[in-house]
Amino acid sequence: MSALIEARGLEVGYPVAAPTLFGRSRILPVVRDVSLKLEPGRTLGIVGESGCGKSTLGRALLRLIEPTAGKVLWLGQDMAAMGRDELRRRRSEMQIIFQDPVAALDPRMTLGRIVSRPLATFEPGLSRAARRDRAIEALRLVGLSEDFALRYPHEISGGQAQRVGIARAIVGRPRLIVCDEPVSALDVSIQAQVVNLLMDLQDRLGLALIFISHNLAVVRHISHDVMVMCLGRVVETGPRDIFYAGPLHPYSRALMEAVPEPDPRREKGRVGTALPGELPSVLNPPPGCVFATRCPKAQDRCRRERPELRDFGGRQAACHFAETP
Amino acid sequence: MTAEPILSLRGLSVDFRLPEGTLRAVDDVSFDVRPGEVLGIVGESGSGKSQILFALMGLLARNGTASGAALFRGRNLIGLPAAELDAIRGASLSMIFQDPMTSLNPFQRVGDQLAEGLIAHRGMTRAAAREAAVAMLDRVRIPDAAARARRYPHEFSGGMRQRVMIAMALLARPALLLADEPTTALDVTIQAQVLDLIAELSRETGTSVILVTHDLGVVARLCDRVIVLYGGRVMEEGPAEAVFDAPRHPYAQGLLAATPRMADALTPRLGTIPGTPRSGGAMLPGCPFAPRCAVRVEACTLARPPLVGDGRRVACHLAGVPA
Repeated sequence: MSALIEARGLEVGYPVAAPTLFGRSRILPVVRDVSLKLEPGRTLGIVGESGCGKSTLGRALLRLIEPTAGKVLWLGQDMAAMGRDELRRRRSEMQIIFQDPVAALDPRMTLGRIVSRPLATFEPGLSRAARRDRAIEALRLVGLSEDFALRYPHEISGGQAQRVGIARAIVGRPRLIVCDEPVSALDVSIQAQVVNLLMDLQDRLGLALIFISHNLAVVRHISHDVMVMCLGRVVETGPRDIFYAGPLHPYSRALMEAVPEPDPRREKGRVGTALPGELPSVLNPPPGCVFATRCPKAQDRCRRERPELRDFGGRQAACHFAETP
Repeated sequence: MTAEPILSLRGLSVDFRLPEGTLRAVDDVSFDVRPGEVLGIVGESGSGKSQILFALMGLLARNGTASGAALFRGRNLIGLPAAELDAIRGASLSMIFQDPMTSLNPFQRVGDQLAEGLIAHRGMTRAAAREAAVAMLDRVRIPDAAARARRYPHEFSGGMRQRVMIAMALLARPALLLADEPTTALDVTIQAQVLDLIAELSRETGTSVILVTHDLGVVARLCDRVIVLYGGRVMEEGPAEAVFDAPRHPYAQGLLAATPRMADALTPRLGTIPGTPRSGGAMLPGCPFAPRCAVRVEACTLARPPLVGDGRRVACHLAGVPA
């Protein structure tokens, strides 16, 4: 199948203030050389710790932030080459939902208006009645009854607010939703409801999902493919099952071992195994491998020379010492 | 596990006066903490888990009142005058928070902040207190502790600030450490470091810990015993292994089913609990979880199930009945 969205050598940077009054401001790259491909109806999970660039990558894929280098292709077409009108039309096909579901909703609007709003932009020809019907249909799809359309954001819970965010994302019948930490702010019992809802919607509507999260257990549950990022770079990527069965990169392994699982017998044995040290600063990444400063297996070569992503039969890892298992 | 408890809660309740009436956030909670024990209190938002700690520390919001008893080494902390509470807080009872900046002064050097408590509570000289502060920073693995002690909190990373707060809480060698979601804001690799540190210090100094969290994994890694709280009431209590292996309350069962584990075979969908966690509203005459419970019977909405059992306690009318 051909790709719905594809990134090639994507780089995104933010300007940082000059260190001195007359110094030069510079561009700090927070996403470096990222390539990915996503087919319709599939989910790519992107995991990493804070500052790894996963949220910036999600926004750059939708061109909510302009990449500083590289390309994003939508159905094979370069998004940077699209004109305003074309981009606006395409935007209805690619949506995003956010971590803080309440902050993402305008407190002065009814939920019905919030959900139907994208239609005013994407399908200006629709009548008011048609927009209302589409909003109610979207609310139903996310498990909220029609009477929610008349309520305001402060009258609903965080879990319900995230459902409204999803309803707003699907009202324009998109083909891709970027989910940026969509369950991190929710209670455990509500997290499960929202994850299940996203999987149901994917089945029913054939959506592709980019699921950005720091939670490896949730990513395993929802994703077909997984990508691990560290300090702006992809360190490992591959199909879900083989990735979780045995990650190749020491950073992926360290992340997996750090996640506490709800199993006291297993966890008690892990006390005292935490990886020492801090993540290096994004402002000043090490010259070699991004993980070399904390890696238990790091050699001189790792500190000097940055490992490229290499193929290991269907998956890739950026480690000098990774081996085919 | 026969040692005298260091803390005994008996019928602790916390009420908040609101314009629309009184909200009971914690409802008739009783439990013991033994010396050296790490107790986890797990619950979702609105379960009242943090308010239990605030009530113990005398830190409830102004419209909140605590009733019942919390016997800390035989003295009731509830209703204790501020001056007497001050002598206990910071000396034998310490608390750490989710956001370390809650307890750190941004305008004071880290070393001075740590030394302050030692000077006030233990009558140490400034020089001796500073030395002890640096030793404790080193102990919680702040690199280059002597130089770091002269720096301000904003010059530390999030994980390091959390360790500074733990250092501050432990300097007084408290008998009981209250930890309110101490790792929730941290990345997983840093969370693992902080959990290791709490486990190690508790083991070495014999400090008891009450750890409040929403994360069942954190409880599993750190806690000897666990209390599952819902709607301000204890739903289930027992040794961590026993509760996680075979939870008996439908709420505890639901929470575990809703938490994905990497070690388990994949299921098509996660287990769910319908509805949303209780947030305020009128007190229900029955079990607070009844509105969301899949196995409720009429009795559940009429009468509050008592917390029964010895060591392993469950508050469910159906707990004796196999599901």
